[in-house]
Amino acid sequence: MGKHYFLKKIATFLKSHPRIQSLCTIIGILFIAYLSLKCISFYNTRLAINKQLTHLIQVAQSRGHDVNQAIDNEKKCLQSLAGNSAIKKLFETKINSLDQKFLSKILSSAYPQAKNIMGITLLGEMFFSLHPKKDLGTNFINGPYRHSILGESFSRSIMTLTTDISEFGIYKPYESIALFICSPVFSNNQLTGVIVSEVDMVTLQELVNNYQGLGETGETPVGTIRNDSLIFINNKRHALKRFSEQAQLINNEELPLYRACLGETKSTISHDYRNEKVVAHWQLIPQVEWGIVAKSDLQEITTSIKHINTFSSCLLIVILCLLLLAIIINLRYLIPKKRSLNILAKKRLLIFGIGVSTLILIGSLYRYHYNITQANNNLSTYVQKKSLHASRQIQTILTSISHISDAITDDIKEKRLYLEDIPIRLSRDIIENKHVKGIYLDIFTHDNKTINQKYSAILNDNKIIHNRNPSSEDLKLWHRKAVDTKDVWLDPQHNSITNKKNSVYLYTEKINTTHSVLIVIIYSNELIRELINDINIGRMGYSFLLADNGRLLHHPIEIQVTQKRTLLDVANRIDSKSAQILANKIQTINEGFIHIKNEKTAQLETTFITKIPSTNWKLALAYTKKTLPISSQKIRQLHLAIFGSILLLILLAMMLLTKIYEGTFNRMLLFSFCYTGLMIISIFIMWRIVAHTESDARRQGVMTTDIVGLKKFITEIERNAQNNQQEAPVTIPTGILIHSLIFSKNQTVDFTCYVWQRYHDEHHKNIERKPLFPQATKITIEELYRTRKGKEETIGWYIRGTLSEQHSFSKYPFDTIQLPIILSHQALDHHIMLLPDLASYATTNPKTKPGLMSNLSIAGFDIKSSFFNYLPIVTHATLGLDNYSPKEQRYTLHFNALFKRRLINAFIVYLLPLLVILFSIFSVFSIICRKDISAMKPISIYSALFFAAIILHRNLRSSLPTSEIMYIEYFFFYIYITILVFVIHVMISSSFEWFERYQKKVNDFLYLGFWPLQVTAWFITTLFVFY
Amino acid sequence: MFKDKQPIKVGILHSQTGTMAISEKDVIDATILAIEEINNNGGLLGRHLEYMIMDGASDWPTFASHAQTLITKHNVSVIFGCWTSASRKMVKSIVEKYDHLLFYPVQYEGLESSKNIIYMGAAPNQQIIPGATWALQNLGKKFFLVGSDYVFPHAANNILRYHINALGGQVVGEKYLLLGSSNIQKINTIIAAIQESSPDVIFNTINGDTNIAFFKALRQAGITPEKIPTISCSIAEPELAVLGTKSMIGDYAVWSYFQSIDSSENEHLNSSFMKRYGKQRKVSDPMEAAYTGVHLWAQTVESIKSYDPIKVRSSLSNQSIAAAQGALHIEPSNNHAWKRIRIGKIQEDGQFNLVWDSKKSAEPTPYPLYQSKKQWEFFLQNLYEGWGKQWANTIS
Repeated sequence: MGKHYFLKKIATFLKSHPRIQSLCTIIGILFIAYLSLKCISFYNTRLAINKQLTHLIQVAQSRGHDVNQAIDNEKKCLQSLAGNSAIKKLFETKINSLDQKFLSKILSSAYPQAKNIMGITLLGEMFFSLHPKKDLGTNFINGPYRHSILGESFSRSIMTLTTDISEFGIYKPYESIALFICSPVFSNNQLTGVIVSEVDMVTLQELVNNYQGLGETGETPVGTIRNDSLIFINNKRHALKRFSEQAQLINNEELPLYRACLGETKSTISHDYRNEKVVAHWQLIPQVEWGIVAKSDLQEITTSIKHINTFSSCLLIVILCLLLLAIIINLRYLIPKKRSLNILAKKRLLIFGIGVSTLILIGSLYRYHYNITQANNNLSTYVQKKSLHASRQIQTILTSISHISDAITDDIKEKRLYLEDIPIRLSRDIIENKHVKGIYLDIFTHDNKTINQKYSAILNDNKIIHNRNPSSEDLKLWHRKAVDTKDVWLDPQHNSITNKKNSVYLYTEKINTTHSVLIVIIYSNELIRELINDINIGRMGYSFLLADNGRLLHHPIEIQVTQKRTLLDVANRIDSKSAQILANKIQTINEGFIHIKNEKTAQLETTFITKIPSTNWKLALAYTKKTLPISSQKIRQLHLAIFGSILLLILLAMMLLTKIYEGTFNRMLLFSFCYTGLMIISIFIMWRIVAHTESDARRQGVMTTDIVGLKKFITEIERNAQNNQQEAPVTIPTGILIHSLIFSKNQTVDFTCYVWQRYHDEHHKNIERKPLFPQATKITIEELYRTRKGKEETIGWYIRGTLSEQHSFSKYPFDTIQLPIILSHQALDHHIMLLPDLASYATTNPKTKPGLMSNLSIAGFDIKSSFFNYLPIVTHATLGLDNYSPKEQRYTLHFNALFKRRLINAFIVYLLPLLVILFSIFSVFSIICRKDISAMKPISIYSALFFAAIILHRNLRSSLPTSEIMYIEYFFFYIYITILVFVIHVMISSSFEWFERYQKKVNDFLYLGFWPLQVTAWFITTLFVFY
Repeated sequence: MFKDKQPIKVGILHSQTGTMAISEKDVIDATILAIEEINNNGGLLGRHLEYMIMDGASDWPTFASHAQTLITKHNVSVIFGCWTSASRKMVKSIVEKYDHLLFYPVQYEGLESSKNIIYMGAAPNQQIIPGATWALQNLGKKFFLVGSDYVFPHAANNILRYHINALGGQVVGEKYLLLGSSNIQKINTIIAAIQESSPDVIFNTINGDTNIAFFKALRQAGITPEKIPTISCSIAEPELAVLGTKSMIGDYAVWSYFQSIDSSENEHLNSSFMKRYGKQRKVSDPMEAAYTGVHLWAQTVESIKSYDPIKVRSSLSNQSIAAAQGALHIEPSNNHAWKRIRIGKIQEDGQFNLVWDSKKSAEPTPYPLYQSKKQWEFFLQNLYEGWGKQWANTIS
């Protein structure tokens, strides 16, 4: 064979076939046009992105520079204050009561914008503060706030002798977000202390909360990393709704803002905190070590060049069609004789195709496995990080408790603390440590026989009470346990000092040759509980804390803790073997994952265990595979790829087995039959998947199904409001019980229900007591009852009304109706947020349908679930209220009921008649093919069938008022097309003689292809509508 | 890939021989690793990086002559090099003369700021001052200062004297050993002085392999970390491997970087280094600083599209980098890096257990506030003159 053998062959072929030659020329020109369009599109995209990137770099640099400049200003002012002779003198003398006027005079000249100025001695004691708050007098070296952002900044400033800027975070004494600058004060070359200023965050946030020049989607989020978690410093322009987004946000080290905080400078296309593709530039804001990202959605940038892409895609389709046409012409008219000779080649081609499709199937399976494994690994890392972080924080709390006893003992031993000062010291330790509820101290002889001195201080209604002594039983127990082990952590139990159930820490040590001290610290587990609740994973995940004897110290189901159950007890009570195995395994490991298959749900449940060293407690975080941070759409796509490759494989195998390559009528009929069967099975499988898959749309908003999650959500909203200096919401617990529901025409629903609300005399002063249903077109509210328990009043109403309901029927009859009932409050002038009164429901699992009467039924529907969720209010109006800002994130409570349509109705009313019509068309055609019948007869039958279909169709449209095309309607369209094709066929057969030459071929094609084409059309439609 | 384009030349100037080779060879390896990474990722401005290594031979005049050769003969765009302050001071005069650029990777005594040097290591307030403060708060108030007889330990100890006194501590002794010396007699004299003054903590600024002899003698005299702990400023993971970890368990070191830091950047550095040089190799603070320095320089070159030393120098302050020790950026006012501070306790596995972490980078202050810049410079000048116009004492 020569060098250009194939090229020469092609040239000879084209020369002898001018039609193919001209077609190839057209295809060639179109292909060049397509390539040119693609190049233009690519070039324009790159140009737009680069232009935007240049702009974003400028924005990030300028905003970062502004922040840096503002911080630098504050720093310089503070440094100048630290160098002020009057301030130096103040630090030398450490005067506790300051001459405010004198200080104000200094500040107004040296530091006019000061929000708060504080002074801390070298020994860590805060000795002055312009705005005395809870931390005045506290010690930043050994006090409870030594690990606070201010404590750490003070420590850095002393350690490095430089002006230090604190981390950004919550400062416990203020219970709010803060940022401090600490500057060392030198006097005569001697370090005398540290002067601190609190930075006004509002001014800083304003610098970056500016979307000017950033289009519709651009923003400049600023953040910092604290304890491995990302904290946003300014408001996000786009709200986050789903848990998976939150999980990715905190954990994702690939997130541009996270990378920026680590010091990375980069400009590229990336994914932001919403997992949206964005064009972004990120960098570090040096002095504060915050990250800044200037970004815009990629979609917004590429919108301008969208039409070029659309046009090029259309052109590609045209090219493919022409290519197909060329192949058909080539096969049918130019080289027809060779067909019969290629049977073996076709068989080989089919076998080759089977091999390729097997490889595609393996590839799809691997891709699925890879994605799931990847998601699993991400989740495991997230779980591990969160658990370890929580256990470290718990350890810190416990250490701070043990440190109190260490410090007291040391001070007594070193004679820094006199016996008469002990009550004051105990009071102060209680005030400074929020979780400490009481301290008891006694000094006893080494033989444990005589107690010489007793002191106690407890917190009661925010007051410190002294000299409350424990019962002799408690005292004996504490002495015994403490003397045995020096320090011991007791599980939560009732104690005779606070007369409440609290956790207790015991500590004993010799203070001199004759006496020892016993210190009993009674503390609340509230903070530890909050930490544990914070690490919940998804809707199905939960965490619990176990004592070293296996007893539950914290569990989402409170009764398990109050009943002092162990995990094994719980497992035995619910008779779960998997839980029993878990309980036993937890005892044996200190840190790691436990994977157990739940025999009841058949799901693999994973639990991560971490040990808290000082107490030997174990923190466990349990979750299921459902929590995987991967969207259901992605999973569906992966499933579809596997399904498609299996289908292709079966199809090719079927072609091989039916020997379709032989080309005889019988072989083709057999294949047609098998293919139709395969497609019908595939359609049924898809319908089944659709009927059993929950769509993402149903999970919009913040779903609240448990008290812990609800509390967490509300706390976050309150915290955000505080940070943004907005009004915190007033919460009103509200419950609903739907009595009846009737879907009427015109997108409305008639309903009756009971609604109740709980009002507190103090929290809900001057608030009108009445609910509001903003989406109701008609409403009657009757008050049924008012009951009172202490300061709480519960009011119940009976409600009748009509709601307007917007529902999409595009997926009919596989649609799920989500009926949201928006619950609001009459007092719109207050920032009121209704809370679902979850405590009033026996169960809050959506599948048990809380809030719906158990006997509630709706014709044609199955009730699947009900739940409460919150959706953000999107409004562009202030409602004329001064305290209402459209920018402010407010939420409304929705009660949702999910209804699944019963398929049997749609099947009997629409699908069955459609199938009968189709079968009739096919039967008529079969008869025409075999008998010579006048053209009028089949046309009249086809017309009758057409009218039957059109009446059915009209009936469908009138019963479901919608402007969309419904899924089922496509079947009507296919019937219309089929009838039209057959009518044309009859017409041509009876009118044109030349058609007789093709009659048999066309008839065979229509006969063999009727059902395969129908089911293929159905299959593709199902695929497009649902996937 | 880079066939048609001239490579960008960079110089590496460290001791491959002599007393400092024990530490500086590792820094060369880290520098080469960073250069290779840049080349493997497509080079810089589409060009290959070509490095020239010159051996300073632990001899300070040699450093100066090699720096001149690199700049004038080899036309390098930047020099990555030096460990001891004595060598840096010699190279400083050269890079200033030719208005060139040096990336210096090691912690030092401060009291210096040159527009031609990027100080990637810790300034005194990022290492020795925090180390002393922490020791005062946690180990005791009586300090014994021991160091090599050259500019860094002398200046560092001078700063420490001010600082310890300011915080109510006491310096009970201060002794020096010639750089590279393992004179047992001299070492034993120092050990005896330590025993006599019974300090709470020994603050060690000895550099190079003298540490081996010093610690051997210390342990032989029965001074263990339990009795008198030592805080070292020049002992990191690779030095520990040479010194023998067992006798060092319980002693402390102050650095910005420890190999045991948990971060993805550190994971990358360690895995790349071990893949390139072997699993037994350790990574230390100066190595991390050298590696980060190369990447920071490359990042700046890439962003300004030029490797001209003057342009690079002026643009460095706009850059930040995700380094293994944490976020790093250069303070424009003094060309020193903002760095994290960590204090670690030596463990059995030859790694450090963190006992204190600044959690945030600290601003570099090369001239501690105890004296004015002029006073500090006068102090240095006295040392220089006293050693016969050298930056190290050579006469025992």
